[in-house]
Amino acid sequence: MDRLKLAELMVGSDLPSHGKRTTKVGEKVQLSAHNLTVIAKDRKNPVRNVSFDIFESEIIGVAGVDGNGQFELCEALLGLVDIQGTVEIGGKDASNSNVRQRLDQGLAYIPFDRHREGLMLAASLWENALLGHEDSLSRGPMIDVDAAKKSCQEIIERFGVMTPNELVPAFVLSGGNQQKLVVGRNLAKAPKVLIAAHPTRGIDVGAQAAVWEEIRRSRDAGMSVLLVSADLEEILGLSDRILVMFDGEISAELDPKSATPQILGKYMTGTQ
Amino acid sequence: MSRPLSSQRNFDSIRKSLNTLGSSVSAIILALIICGVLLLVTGKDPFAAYGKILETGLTSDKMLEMLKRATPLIFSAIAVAIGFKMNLFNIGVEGQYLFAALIAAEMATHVSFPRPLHILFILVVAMVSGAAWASIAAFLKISRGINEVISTIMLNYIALSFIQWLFESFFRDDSDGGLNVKTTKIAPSGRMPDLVHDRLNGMFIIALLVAFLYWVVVFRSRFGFQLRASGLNPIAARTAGIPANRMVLIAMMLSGAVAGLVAMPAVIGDVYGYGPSAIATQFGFAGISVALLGRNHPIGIVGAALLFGFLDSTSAVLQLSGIPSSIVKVIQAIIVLVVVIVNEASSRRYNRRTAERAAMALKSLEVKQ
Repeated sequence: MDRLKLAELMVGSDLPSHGKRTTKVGEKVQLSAHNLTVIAKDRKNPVRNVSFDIFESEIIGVAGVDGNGQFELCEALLGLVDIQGTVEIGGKDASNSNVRQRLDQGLAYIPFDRHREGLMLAASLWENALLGHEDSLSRGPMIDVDAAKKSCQEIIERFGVMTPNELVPAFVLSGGNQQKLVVGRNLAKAPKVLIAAHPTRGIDVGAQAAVWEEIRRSRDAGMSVLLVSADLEEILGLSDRILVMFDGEISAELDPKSATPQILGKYMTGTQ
Repeated sequence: MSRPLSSQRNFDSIRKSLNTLGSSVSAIILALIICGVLLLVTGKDPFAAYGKILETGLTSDKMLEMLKRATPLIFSAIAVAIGFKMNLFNIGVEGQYLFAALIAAEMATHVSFPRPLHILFILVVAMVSGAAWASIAAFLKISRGINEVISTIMLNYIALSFIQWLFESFFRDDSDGGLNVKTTKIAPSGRMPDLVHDRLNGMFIIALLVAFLYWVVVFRSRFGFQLRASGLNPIAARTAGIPANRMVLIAMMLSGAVAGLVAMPAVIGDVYGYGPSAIATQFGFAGISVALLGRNHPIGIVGAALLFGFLDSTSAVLQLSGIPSSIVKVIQAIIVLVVVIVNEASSRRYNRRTAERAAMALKSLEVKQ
């Protein structure tokens, strides 16, 4: 009896196995960072000289101990902080674009902390699903309430959010279902690039498997993913390439086929 | 599967409205009981006092006065509520509306338009002036991170002195010769028609219109959604690409624009000008109470403004029958306090029940499947 078997028995179905992918990584660069540095006023710059390209249909895992610049890296890619260097989305320079423009260019973001950055807990599910998609679910200056509710129902259906309907406030959902809603909100519009920060943190194995499956499916359809996680199994299981972040810099690039948690651990703690 | 869902839905929205109404009504009753005890302690008969309030308040004469007194409160409370919806506390409605009153009253005398246009011009000037004054606090918050509670309170004092200086130095018109100095009288074309002669003017209709527009904009528009999202979770809103600074600026200016209308029932409906002793003050602060009591919802706000107007309209009569008229202010204050406490308690209970219901609904769905 190993962990996988135990988890499968708990959810009552086979979990998708790690690593196996039948599709190929594409040729086109979808997200690229070049000499990216996040400027901090009162402390050492939290991200320094980070460069990478993510190709179509590729998942890059960013492994690291929390607090080594991953959060700031995500904020920089999203356009929330001051940076030096460049960010390109879908081949176009986005360094000077604001958050909304980057989202419109095909970026999506599953945030680190669903309560802090993701959800309006007191608001209904459909309003939560609407957040970030107001422009496409409006008619003129007005919210198209029917379309917004329908879009939320589709997310509930497709991502298996356990809820009586889309009108209940978000706080009544369990953590896993809240996360499925956040993931669904970001994947529903088929983004070109997904930044997924701890997409399965603190949720049960069933929900975790569902989120992984959805990310894989979107990847197979061509989506590029920057996967930031503290869960090494998640990193090793999903990534096509692994970057290790230590003290604000990329300290290693590894191949998941040959990497092990032990090797990753050494780079993550700066002992290698 | 869709049947139980839809019935559950209708039931949910009715349940929510009932919960809100119930908690507000019970809060008002509780406040009246507390005031009754206060009256009793000070040696007055609470039943006589409440009897008097009802007796005088329900005459058609006082009902008209209630509507009249409610009008500026509706504007003021809507102004406050716009800010509240994104956790922005505009305590500066007071300064904004007095500034707007002076500027609008003065500008009105420098133009000549036919009637509806002249009135519209004055209202627009008032809204622009209110918005301009409010935008100072917004700029301070955006550029220097200054808390708007502090800046709007301070700007009230600055507004009062600034208005006094402007009025005394430039806008004062002594041609009337009376003690009650005002700006030059606004021409008849700029005066709001009365609904009931000398008792209630058309600004009451405009107040209801503004309350309706508030609902449309805040609860139905894309901008309103972004405003509420910024209030419900500012970090999530920012992460979803809603520009925080721009929302602060627009919300503050909208709030100031509505605040600019607070004194208009007097300026273009009663006084036909601005005068330091002719334009009533304190509506800015009363608006905070009304917005709290009305829970930032347009229907709640209109209801709360009517209640406050009703109580205000009876205070003069109370004085005559030996009951201190200040009891009205005490009742109002206690109602607001009790409402805030009861709302908090009942919304917790409501949230818990909602969570339980959702869990039950889920279970029954699972059983059916």
